[in-house]
Amino acid sequence: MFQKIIILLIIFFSAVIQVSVFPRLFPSGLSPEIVLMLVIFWTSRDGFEKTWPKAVLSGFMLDLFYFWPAGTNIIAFALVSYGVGFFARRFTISQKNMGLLVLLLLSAMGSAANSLILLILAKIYKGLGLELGIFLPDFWNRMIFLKILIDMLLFVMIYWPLSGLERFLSFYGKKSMQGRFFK
Amino acid sequence: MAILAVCSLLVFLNPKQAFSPLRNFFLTAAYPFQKIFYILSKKTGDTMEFLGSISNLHAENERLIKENSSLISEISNLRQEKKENENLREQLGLIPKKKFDLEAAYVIGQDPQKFGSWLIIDKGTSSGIEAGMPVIVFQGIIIGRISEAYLTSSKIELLTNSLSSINASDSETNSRGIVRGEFGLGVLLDMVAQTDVLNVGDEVVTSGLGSDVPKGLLIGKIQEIKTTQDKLFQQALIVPSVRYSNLETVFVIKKSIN
Repeated sequence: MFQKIIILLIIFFSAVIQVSVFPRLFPSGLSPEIVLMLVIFWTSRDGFEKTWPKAVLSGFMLDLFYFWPAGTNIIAFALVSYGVGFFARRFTISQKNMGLLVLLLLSAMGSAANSLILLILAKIYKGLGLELGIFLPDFWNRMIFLKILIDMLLFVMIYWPLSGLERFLSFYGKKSMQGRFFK
Repeated sequence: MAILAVCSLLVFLNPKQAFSPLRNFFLTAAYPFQKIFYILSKKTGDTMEFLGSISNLHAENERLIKENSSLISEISNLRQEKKENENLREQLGLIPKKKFDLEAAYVIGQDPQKFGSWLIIDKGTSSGIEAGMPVIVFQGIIIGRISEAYLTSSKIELLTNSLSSINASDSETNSRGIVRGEFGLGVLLDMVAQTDVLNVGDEVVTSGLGSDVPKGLLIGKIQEIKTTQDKLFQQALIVPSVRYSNLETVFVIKKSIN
């Protein structure tokens, strides 16, 4: 339960930061996607099967904060999580340095895929005549490479704190399990 | 596949009202953090901008000195005109400009995907704010309307948002049209009859027709005039009078006091 609350708080505060902090620090279209980076981090560690509830929750939270129709970011995050999980299984992430490099590559792929999926969804909605208030920067220009780079830098910045937190949570989980058995 | 199917169904049905209480809950919970984070990030952004602009300070200073002297002369002219205006109003028995019941609010968030779409402010239904109310900044410049109001925060649909449309007119020639957003990029005065006159540099203001938006609020200046493809109407690109991405404080017009 404690772990779930911590995860929920991390997603919640990341969404708040994404809406209230990054738009003031980065130009339009280059605002980094911290919630997406969290999903990519968790998926690369635990695989899609274990991470999809977190991906769904993250997407839903972002839909609420973006005022988008519920489901839009969930679809994007679920697909990105599936893709990252698929590729993460195929890469070797055993060596420490090599592991981070592969993770960076996965975060870049995830960032690009997320932008593309959202753009396709927005086009589908528009094609169906649904005015849902989704506004996205043009995907196919030079800005996307800069955005991917910023997302990768953000991934590096959150990688160690999240790894530390994960270790703490697993330690806490083991302790509480022991407590339950020995009581 | 099940996730995708459920989400697609949710999006197409788009039950906005069903998620409103949940959105309200999370926005209310996020409100204090959003406010603190937004103010802190603004200060950080300003500092970064300042550090980046140090090399331009000398040129900027010279430009400002020139601008200051021209403004001083403009102020004295305007004082004279104000006096004349007051005299004329007195003679004609006209009421002064409309006054508004304003609610000041801080901006605490904005669309991270594309700026110029929407803003979040720190006032909501608890402060008497309702959907549809116009939002202005200093000196009566309109920036948009409230599209969704929650307990402690509200969403402003900016004029540059493609879903936004507002009746407007050219303040010089009185030509009327509809101001529409251009996907967060700019504002367009559309549906102006070919027989009407538009001039580059003219100010565009709200016409007060067909909505709760009062007459005479400034939108921006005409930058370029063109004709629609079917040659039926004129269109004018408008440069908004404020940069929407840099706003800090806004005012919601709750009602006009005549």
